[in-house]
Amino acid sequence: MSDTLREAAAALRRTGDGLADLGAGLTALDPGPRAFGADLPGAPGELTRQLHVLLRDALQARSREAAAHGARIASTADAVARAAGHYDDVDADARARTVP
Amino acid sequence: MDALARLEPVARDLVHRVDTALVTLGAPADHPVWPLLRRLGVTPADAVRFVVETDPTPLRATAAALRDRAEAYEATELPADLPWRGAAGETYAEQAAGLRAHLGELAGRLRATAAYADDVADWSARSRERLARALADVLTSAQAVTVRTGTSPAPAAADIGVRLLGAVAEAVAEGTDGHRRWASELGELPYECSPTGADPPRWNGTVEVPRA
Repeated sequence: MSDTLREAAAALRRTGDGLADLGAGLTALDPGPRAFGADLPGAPGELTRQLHVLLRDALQARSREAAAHGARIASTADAVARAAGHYDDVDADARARTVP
Repeated sequence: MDALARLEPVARDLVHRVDTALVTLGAPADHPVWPLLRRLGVTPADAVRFVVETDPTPLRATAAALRDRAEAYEATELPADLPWRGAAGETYAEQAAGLRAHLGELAGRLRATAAYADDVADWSARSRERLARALADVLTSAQAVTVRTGTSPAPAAADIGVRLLGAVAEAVAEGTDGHRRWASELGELPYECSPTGADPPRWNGTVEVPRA
């Protein structure tokens, strides 16, 4: 039982770490403001800034979501690992109490 | 290389002559170039530069990379079916279901962000095509000859300005509509899936250990 939980904890930890890694690279996908048009005054420049800021902020939000969910999954992994440890303690206690 | 990338260098001199004529000679008071100049706040040459610098290629690359990550999220495995009974096991099962559901929602948010990047790329491509048509029209127009030969160029420059600024005004209006549509769709997604709150499952001493 404790081995199964330990394996589950390890799988959860890998998932959490993987998600955090995926999220960390998201802001690098921002192509920069130039792709949205020239940096100008007036309505075109304002639109350039608005279109770019929306994508930049969205990528930052996706990155924070991934980091938070990765941490959430890692926290669950820790809890499962602790439960596996408790099972070990129970098993050891039971063995110690067993009359030969 | 699209039509705009080919035409803009050819038209650059004409467009700068149009700017110079408008700045130095003005235009008739009732000419439709004035409302366009006021609405956009830029000269024809700057308006052309605005569209020329939009580039759908990196936006499509961003969209593709976001969809790849969404697929990675969806392929992520979360151990759910553990041989773990009792209150802690039930809590874990609920927590794992919530975590998996939220992961699916995060993948959806990545796909929405990709769709926005694609939408902007489509807008960029349409704007470039529209301006390329406008440049092709003005390059072959009688007004272009007038502006180039310098004989009373002001009304002709204003006419060319209307054709170019009109194309850019359509692009700006379309881009503004697109921004408005997406503005409320891409915010940060809160985690609301945990049926037992944010706490991870805890050992509570009531777990049933299955008999071997």
